[in-house]
Amino acid sequence: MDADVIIVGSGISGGWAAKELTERGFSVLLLERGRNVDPSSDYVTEHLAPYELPYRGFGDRQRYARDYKVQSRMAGLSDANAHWFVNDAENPYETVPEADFAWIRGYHLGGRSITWGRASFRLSPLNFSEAGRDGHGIPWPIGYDDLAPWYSHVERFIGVNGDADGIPSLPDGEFMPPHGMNCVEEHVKGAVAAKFGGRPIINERSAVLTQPIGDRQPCHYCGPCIRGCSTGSYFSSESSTLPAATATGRLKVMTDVVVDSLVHDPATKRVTGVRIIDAKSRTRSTVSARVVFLNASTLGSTQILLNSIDADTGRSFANRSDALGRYLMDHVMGPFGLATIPGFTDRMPMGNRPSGIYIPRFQNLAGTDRAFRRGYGYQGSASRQMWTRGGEGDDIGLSLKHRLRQPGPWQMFIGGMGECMPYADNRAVLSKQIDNWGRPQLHVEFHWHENELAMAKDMAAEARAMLAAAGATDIVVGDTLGPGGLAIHEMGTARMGDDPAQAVLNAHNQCHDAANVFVTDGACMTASAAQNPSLTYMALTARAAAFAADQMKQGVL
Amino acid sequence: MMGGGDTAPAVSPPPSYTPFPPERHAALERLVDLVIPADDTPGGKDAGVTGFIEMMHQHWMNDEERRRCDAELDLVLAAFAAGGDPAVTLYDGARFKAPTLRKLTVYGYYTSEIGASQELDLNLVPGAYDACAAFGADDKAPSLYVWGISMSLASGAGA
Repeated sequence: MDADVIIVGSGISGGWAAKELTERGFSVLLLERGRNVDPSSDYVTEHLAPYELPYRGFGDRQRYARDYKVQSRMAGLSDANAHWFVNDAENPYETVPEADFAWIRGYHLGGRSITWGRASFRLSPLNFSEAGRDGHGIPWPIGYDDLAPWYSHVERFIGVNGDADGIPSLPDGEFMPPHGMNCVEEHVKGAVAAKFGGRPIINERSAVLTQPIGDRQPCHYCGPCIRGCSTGSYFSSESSTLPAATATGRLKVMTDVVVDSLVHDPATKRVTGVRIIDAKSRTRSTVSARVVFLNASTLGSTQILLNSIDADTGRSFANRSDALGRYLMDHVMGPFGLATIPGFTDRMPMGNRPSGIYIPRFQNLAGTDRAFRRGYGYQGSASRQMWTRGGEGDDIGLSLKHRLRQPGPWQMFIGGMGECMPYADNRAVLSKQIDNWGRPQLHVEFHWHENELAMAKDMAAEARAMLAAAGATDIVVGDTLGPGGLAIHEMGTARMGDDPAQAVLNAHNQCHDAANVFVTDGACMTASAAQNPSLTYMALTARAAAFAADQMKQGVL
Repeated sequence: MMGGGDTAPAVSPPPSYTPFPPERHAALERLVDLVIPADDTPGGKDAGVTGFIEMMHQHWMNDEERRRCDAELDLVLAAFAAGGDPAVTLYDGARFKAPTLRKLTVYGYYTSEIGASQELDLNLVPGAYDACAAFGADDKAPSLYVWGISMSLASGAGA
C-alpha cells in the first residue's frame, strides 16, 4: 500500500478530502495531474499594473485563437490569468455543434480553487426536498439536516463573509462581517423591497476573509482574485486545506501525474489500485490504497470511472445504473440586466471589493408560480463607469481627457444563475480518440431544454422590472443562453441516490458498485439548485471523509 | 513546498514589433496626441500609445481589424495632407473618421504607466474598502478595474 487513501485531484474538494482524512490519522497520497504551485512565488501576475502585462491585460489573442479555443470562450481570459487555464490544443475533448459544451479547466495544484468566484451559499431544505418529487430527476439521498453541521464545519475553516439574513430558502451559516453594499446597491435594495413585497437583496456570501484566520490575512482589496492571493485572503487549496493537511505530516503530494483508471477486482467488488501515468515521461505504474477519493472535477472523475473496466462485464465497474456520465448539468447563466442609476455622483467605492450583492431565488417557493420549475437568483453589483467609456463616442482632445478624469455614472448589473434539470441525454461518454497520455478522450453533449429556456426569459424580464423599479435608465437586458459549461458549474455525471439502479453514489458519496471508492466533487450532485455549488462540494467531501474514516477505523474498509 | 514539477510560467515582456513605415508612424503619432493631448500630464505620444497600437496591429488584431485600422490611417494621412484644422478635417460631420484608432488610443493611454498612474489614480493594493466614499470634483478616477479590462474592436468600433 502506498497510503491509506489515494485522492485524485487537489482542487476545492480534493484539498478538503486531504485535510479531513490526514487530520483523522490516515496517510494520504494526493495525485495532481498538473504542475506544482508554490503560493509564495507562483502568483506571478498578482498586483501587476496593466503596463506590466505583455498585452496590458487584453490577452494574447492570436495564441488563444490557436491554442485556447475553448477556454477563450470564457469572458476574461487574459495575459493576467491564462496560466491558470488549460491549453485546449494539448487537452482535446469532443463535442458536437448541436450539443456544444465548453469545458473550462485548470490543471495545476489547487485546480480551480485558485480561479473560482468564491460565492458560498448553502443549499436549502427546499432544494433537497423538491428534487425528484416534481417529475424531474431523482430524490437526494440526504436532507438539509444531514449536511448542515458540515456546512458549518467548512464555513468556519475557510472563512465566509455575509449576513444572517433569515431567509428559509437560503439558510444562514457561520459568517464573518460582509464587505458591505455601496449606496447605489442600498438604493436598489430599498426600491426592490418596496415594489416587490419585501423581496430581499443581500450581501453576497463569499469565501474571502474580512477577519484573519491564523496566517491568512483579511482582504486587501486589490481586486482581481483570479491571479492568486499571496496573503491567502480567499479560500483556495493552497491557502487553506493543503497547509492543514501538510501540517499533519501524513500528506504526500505527487504533481504531474495523470490518472488512467482504477484497478477493479470483480471478486471483492473493490478497487485495489490506481493506474497512473507520469505526465512528462508517459511512464505508467500503479499505486494502491485502502480507499480512493475521486476529486478530479466533475468530468475528470467521470472520465476515470468510465475508463475503469470490470473484467467480468467489459464495462465500467461503476455503471450498473447506466447513470454514469449522464445527467450533466450546468447553471442557467447568461441572462442579465444592466442599467444606469441616476445620481450619487459625489460617491465612489474606494478599494476593489471581491464580491457583490445577491438576489435569492423568489420563484416557486411555495407551490408553482411560474411557467417553469425550480428557480434562480442573481449576482450583481453597482459601480461607476470608468475611463473605458471613452472608447465610444467621437470627441477628442482635452475635453475627452478631462471628462475621463472623473468616473462616469453609476451602473447596476445583475446576472441570473438558475437551476438546471438533470437530463439523461446531457452526457459524457468515452470517445474513440486518444489523448496525449493514451487515454480515451471524453465526448460531451449538452443542450438546454424547455425549462431552462423559459427560466432564461423570466430572468431577463424580472431583471428589467427590478431595475425599472429602482429608477434606472438605459436598461439593457439579455435572455440568451450560450453553450453549457460557461457557468463553470458542470456537475451531476455520477449522481447520488439511494437506488443503485438509478444512481452511481449512495448517501455517503460511496460508489454503489465499489465500497472503497468515493466521489465528492461536482459529479455527485443529484440536482443543481440555483446556488453556486462549491461550498456544497466541500461540505459533502468533509462528511464523506468522516464516514470513510469511521469505516476504516471499524475495519469495514 | 509540495510535490515537484514545473512552476507557473513567468510573465513575458510585450512582444517586439516592427513600427509602421515612417510617414504612417508619424501620422499615427500626431493622431494619438490629438486624441489625448498633453496638458498638465503627458499626452498619447509621450505615453507610448503609438508603439502600443503598432504592437497590437501586428500581434493582436485579426485581419479584418487590421485592414480597418489601415484604412482609417489612410483617411488620417489624407486629412493631414489636406492641411487645415484637424479638429475639422478628421471629421465627417459629427463622426470621427478613425474610430478604431481613437478607441485604441484611449485604451493604450489609460493602461500605460503615464495614463494609469499620472493622469488617473493607480492604487494596486488599496488595503481597505470604503463602499461609498465621498468623491470630489477635483479627485481623479481610479484607473483599475476590479474584474480586469477587456477590449473589443468588433466592426463598428467606436460606435
